[in-house]
Amino acid sequence: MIEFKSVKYSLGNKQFDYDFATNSSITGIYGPSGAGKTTLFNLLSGLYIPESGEINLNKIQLFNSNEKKNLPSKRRNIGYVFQENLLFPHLSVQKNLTFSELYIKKKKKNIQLQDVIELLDLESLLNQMPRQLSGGERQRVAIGRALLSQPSLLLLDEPFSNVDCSKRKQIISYLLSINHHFKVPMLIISHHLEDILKLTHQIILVENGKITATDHVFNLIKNGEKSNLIRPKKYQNTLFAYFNDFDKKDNVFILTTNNTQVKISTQSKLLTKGITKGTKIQLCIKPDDIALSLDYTEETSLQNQLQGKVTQIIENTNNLYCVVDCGFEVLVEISQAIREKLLLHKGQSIYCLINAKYFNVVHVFSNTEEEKLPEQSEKKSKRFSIHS
Amino acid sequence: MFSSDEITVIILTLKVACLSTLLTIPLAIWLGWILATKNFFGKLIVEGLISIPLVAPPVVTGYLLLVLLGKNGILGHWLFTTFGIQLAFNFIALLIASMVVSLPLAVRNIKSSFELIDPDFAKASGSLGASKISTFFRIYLPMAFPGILSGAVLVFARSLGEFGATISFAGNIFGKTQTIALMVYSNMQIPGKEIQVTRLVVFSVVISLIAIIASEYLNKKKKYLIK
Repeated sequence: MIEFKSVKYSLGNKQFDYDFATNSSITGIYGPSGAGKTTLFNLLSGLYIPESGEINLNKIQLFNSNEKKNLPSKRRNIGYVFQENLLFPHLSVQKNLTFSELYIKKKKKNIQLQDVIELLDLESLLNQMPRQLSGGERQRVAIGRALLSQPSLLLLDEPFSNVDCSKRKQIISYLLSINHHFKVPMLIISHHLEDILKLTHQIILVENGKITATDHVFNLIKNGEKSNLIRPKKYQNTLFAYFNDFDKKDNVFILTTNNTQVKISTQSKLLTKGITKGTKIQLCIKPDDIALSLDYTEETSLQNQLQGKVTQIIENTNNLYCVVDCGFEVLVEISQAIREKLLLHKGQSIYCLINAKYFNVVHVFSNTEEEKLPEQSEKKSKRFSIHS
Repeated sequence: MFSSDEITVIILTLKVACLSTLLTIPLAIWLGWILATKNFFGKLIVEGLISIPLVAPPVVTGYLLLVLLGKNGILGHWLFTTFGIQLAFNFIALLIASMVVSLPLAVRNIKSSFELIDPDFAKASGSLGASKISTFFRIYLPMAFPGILSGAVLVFARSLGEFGATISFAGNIFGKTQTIALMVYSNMQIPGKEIQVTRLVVFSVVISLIAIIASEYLNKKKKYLIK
């Protein structure tokens, strides 16, 4: 639990005023440049000292102006992955990773070096110097180094800023693994809502040095959040499904989520290594990749026809959206013409048509990361090797 | 190759250069660190005072040392009457003169090394649990090491060639305070000593050249290491 109670800070002419609380395992910090996102991290980590207010982490008081309490940075137990990585250039990857070893009591070592090396695929980099690494590799080492300081909270400032698109996906997947494996809560700053949404839907909106919203992104969209930052266009529907079977005829994976069957394409690299029945998979799909139909139809090439009910119609400045409950809620982009043609209204029964290839696989949770599933307890494990 | 007198002088010169380097560098690291990382009232004056021996004629530096630390000097008189310590015209004077003239070279070099290090590394180190002292020894010192080594080479080379301050404050006493530079100067006054002078000059030039090349090499390494 992170709490900021009326925390005030000024930097030059800029005033910052933070008041929020979050208990999510991953929270995204989203806002424009210069809004005060990094300042929030610096206040939380103890690099900046607020003028007034109170900061608490897991009921431990980090700062309290009334009680004149300020826990120094090194005692806050917060791992900080800086935007520029800040790997120590004179130390090898291994020495960077083990830098914090000197300062940690042996009893407190919940996160082991070998686990971090395996989880972040760092084995082959251990003897290299930071200057020999690519942007993505540096980012992984920086995350590993912060993790090995045994933090009770991990702060990641723009972890995708120095990496290309394919490496972004990789780092998102690593972060999800870390979160599930080590159970370390994370706060993540990013300029890209799309990236945040792949990690979490719980966000804190920062604008002009203030927190303007703390909520689930879907709720902000549904409640017609006035901020220009939250545009439904940028939204990605996220769902968690469990692998059930492989359809050789259609060459698709069959997953189940909330008793609904979802078929996804085999094109994702994340699914080519082999997958066990019951494996948890995180998927996302854009609102404009979903089509609507009033009836079920046999004559279609689309592999998914999910039956649901319209729960809300959202009128945005430029676009129209509707929320459909198919056992899980999805946001669907529509046009005024479609609304009129289908006579869309709240409570209406509808089918969501989705091409299997439009589902984007964000992360495949390994067995150790998975929650215990009924399928697993029945020991019906069946391994498939899929080649795209 | 060298006469026994020359060997005595070379050994004394090397001894004072080594000792001067060993004593000057820790002081220069401390001063370089403070000047590179801290802002305080009178910082420019401190920097100016340290740099005086770089720009003032060495004889003036030697004279000032004499005024300050000589037997009848401001501090020297008190040291002599209270503890019986005499600092002028002996080996200690030789060492002090050498340290004072070479200190600004080392401080400037080391300070620039510290200034090149991104202060955010200290934040990263702190977030990993390191104290300020630990950060200094594990981050700043190793990253500035090539600069420190380059400073040490410059101190060593400057000590070898020191003349003005030494002759004013330590004198030119054979076996006690006569260094290579002073011996060259003395022998230049005596006809027929040209070969002796040439030998010592060649020795000095070779040592200086090696020192400058080493310093340049280390300076390049300094920039490479912190990238």
